[in-house]
Amino acid sequence: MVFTILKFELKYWLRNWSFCAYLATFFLMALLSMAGASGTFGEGSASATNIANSPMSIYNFVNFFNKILLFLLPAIVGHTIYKDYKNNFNSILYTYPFSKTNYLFAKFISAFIIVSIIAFL
Amino acid sequence: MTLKIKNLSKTYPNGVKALDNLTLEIKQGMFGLLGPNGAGKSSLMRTLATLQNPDEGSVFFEDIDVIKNPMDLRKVLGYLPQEFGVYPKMSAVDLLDYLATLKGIASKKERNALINQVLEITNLYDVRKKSVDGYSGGMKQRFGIAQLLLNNPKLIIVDEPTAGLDPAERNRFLNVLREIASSNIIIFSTHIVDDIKDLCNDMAIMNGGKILKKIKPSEATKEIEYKIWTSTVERENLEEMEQRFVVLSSKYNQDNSINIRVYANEQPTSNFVTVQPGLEDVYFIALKDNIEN
Repeated sequence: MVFTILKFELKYWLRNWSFCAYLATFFLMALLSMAGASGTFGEGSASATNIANSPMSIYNFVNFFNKILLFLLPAIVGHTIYKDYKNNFNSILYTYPFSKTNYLFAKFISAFIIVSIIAFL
Repeated sequence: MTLKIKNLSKTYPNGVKALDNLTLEIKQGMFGLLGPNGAGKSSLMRTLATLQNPDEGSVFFEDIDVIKNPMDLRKVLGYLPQEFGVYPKMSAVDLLDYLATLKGIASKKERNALINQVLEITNLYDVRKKSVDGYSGGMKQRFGIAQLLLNNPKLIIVDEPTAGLDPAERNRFLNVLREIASSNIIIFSTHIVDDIKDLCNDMAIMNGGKILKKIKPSEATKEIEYKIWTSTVERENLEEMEQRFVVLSSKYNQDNSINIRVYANEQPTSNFVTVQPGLEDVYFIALKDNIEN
């Protein structure tokens, strides 16, 4: 049962345009900030003493993106469950033979996978 | 096959007593639940569908304790809520496939056969590839029936399904219900008296969280035969009539006079003639009794 809901939710997200939008935004943000730092657009912050892909500056980038990712979590995890209420689908769904634990677990894991895909890309 | 409801009570946090020590036994066949808005019909149905727990009381379906083991009931339950929606941009077939998997039908072949079958029953086969959120009201209600049939339910609960349907759609919907009524219990709530007259072999009238009367529709009108009288009165006299007699219903004529129906053992005045009682009269008498007590 968990697997059915999980599969359905993943399919839903992968087809959803907002997933593509999130993905593109984050990819571009990462690309541009790294390109900017390494001097693609004129003078970057890199110099002889400040290397763009040094462990320290990569650490700083990751730190920065972690903070922005926090905005994604509620948007995606929340929406996974909220869409059942918004579409008024929950009144049908909750009389089906699966437990609350299974339902919440599957919904959360699927949303988590989606966020992870965006984060790792 | 029986559904036994015993001493069911539910009070909402805002103080509304939705179910008031309700006891009812429902046997195989179509069961109609009739009552005005806010009578507690939906509360009762939601409790039976394991969506909310009562404060007190017990519900048994055959030997399943519905309150304690909701999961066992859900396996044999089909529920159509008063209002429901679906995910946008999903065709009927895809949605039914997902729902069938959730109802526990693992094999793809079995699912497809079942889905085709329920689409045929509900006359949706031709539009099965269209997205459900674009369906008309009646089609959506029939889709609701299609989804509840997916697990061959033994207990079917439909909550005010005909509200807001045009007459043609309503007939089509009732025909679908008639078709699926065979070896199961169907509980059907409505505030439209005609729905019950056409369809149900047993009924109950409900108000204020209580069952006012449980009776077979075919016998209901026999009880009050020769006790329903009608007459045409002027508008000004309506109030006086209401004080003097038990006026069940009043309908305006085109010339602004009013046709009234009165419940009385003997002819009220010489202006009144006796008429064939309808189920509507039974309903109004039960409600009137309830208000007076």
